[in-house]
Amino acid sequence: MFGWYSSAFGEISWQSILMIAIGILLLYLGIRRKMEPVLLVPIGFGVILVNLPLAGIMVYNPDGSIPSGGFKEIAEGQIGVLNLIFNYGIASEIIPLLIFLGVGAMIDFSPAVARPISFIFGAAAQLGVFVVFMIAYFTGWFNMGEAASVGIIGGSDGPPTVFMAVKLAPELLGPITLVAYSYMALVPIIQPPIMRLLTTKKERAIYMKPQVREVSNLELIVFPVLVFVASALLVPKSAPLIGMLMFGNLLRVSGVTKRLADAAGGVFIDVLTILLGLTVGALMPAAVFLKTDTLMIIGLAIVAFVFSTAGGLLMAKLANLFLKEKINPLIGAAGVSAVPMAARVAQIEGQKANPRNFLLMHAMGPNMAGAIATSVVAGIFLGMIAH
Amino acid sequence: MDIDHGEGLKIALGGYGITFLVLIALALLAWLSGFIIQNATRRSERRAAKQAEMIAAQSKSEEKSALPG
Repeated sequence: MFGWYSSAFGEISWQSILMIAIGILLLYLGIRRKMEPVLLVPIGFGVILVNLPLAGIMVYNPDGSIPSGGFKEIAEGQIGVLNLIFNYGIASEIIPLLIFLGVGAMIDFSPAVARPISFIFGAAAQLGVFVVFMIAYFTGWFNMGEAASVGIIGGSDGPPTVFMAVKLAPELLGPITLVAYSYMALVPIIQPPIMRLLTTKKERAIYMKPQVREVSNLELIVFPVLVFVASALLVPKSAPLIGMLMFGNLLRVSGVTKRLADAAGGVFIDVLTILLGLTVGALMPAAVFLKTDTLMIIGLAIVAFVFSTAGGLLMAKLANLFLKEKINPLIGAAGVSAVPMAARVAQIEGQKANPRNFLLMHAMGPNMAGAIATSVVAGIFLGMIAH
Repeated sequence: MDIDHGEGLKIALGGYGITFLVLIALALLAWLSGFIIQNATRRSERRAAKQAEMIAAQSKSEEKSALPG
């Protein structure tokens, strides 16, 4: 219009407008509906940022790949600030791993230590990961690495999902991360129908005594060290994830590093979450996101959640055939490690069937074990699939 | 895209199987460490109680022997 001045209006396409609408929807879900706001708000804003033409905050090559560079390239306008954060923070895997450290500093493993059978439910609830891996791979929609990265959404644990997608399906990192975190927020909607379908009211009403045994401080200190050493020896590729998770937890339980634990689980994880959320949002320009692959991921992820919930639930029912003191099968479904939502869903559904029931602490065991199990699965995939 | 059904199946079934084995191993370790620590704690508590009892008995006998006549 002025010759020497160009606004972005001329560059805007219907695809960009659609993506900006998706970004606004994510902001709405996060702010108004309070669905995983800590992630959906930065992701939503990142989506808007990257889809505004000529903004240059995240620059893409014409083939959709992400150029790398340093401060000089930023100054020259060849890349944006978020390119730098993506390359040094996410593609290098630093941010997801450090977030896991913060997560470890925030969670209490005592319910899992008090009832080790929880680990079996955590393992069973990985069923969806492997079922979706097979569907995604055998149908030819995705290659092996991509199929594994889509499948692991069913583990319902953010950092392992990002960690694996970076290595095995970097081009799908944006949609996979978005779908993983969105579905985690939808656990209270996805799980209850499956729970009701696979259990009778009598089973859901099984009463469990409120208290789980008291776990000594020494047990809590030994636990993260033991789990890390054992899993690093058994599944070496899971060592970065489980190492960070358990190190964070050791800071929490050691009794002498409270300041470090508070830092790791406080401002530290918040800063990283902002960087992760914003950059993941910026991984969704229209040209990359509006593909059939994304729709496939959205569909397959729900299948993964359904099978994972069913896996944990059916394993708890199976365990009841052998246990003298019956457990409520709903706690098995909490092996889907969306912490603590899956445990809360078990609590709510259990109380609906029997108002005397208080399943939250019992469900937290499989919930925590699920977090460990998803990291183990990520390590197994990384070990088995050449990348 | 070339699909290697055998390899895919191996990864899916093998992966799920290994997940179970690893988590069972972790469960056993958690149980075993808990068992050892609880037993050791109970034993040391019993020993401490016994020691306290002995000290109490000893001081009682010392008091008795210190009585005049």
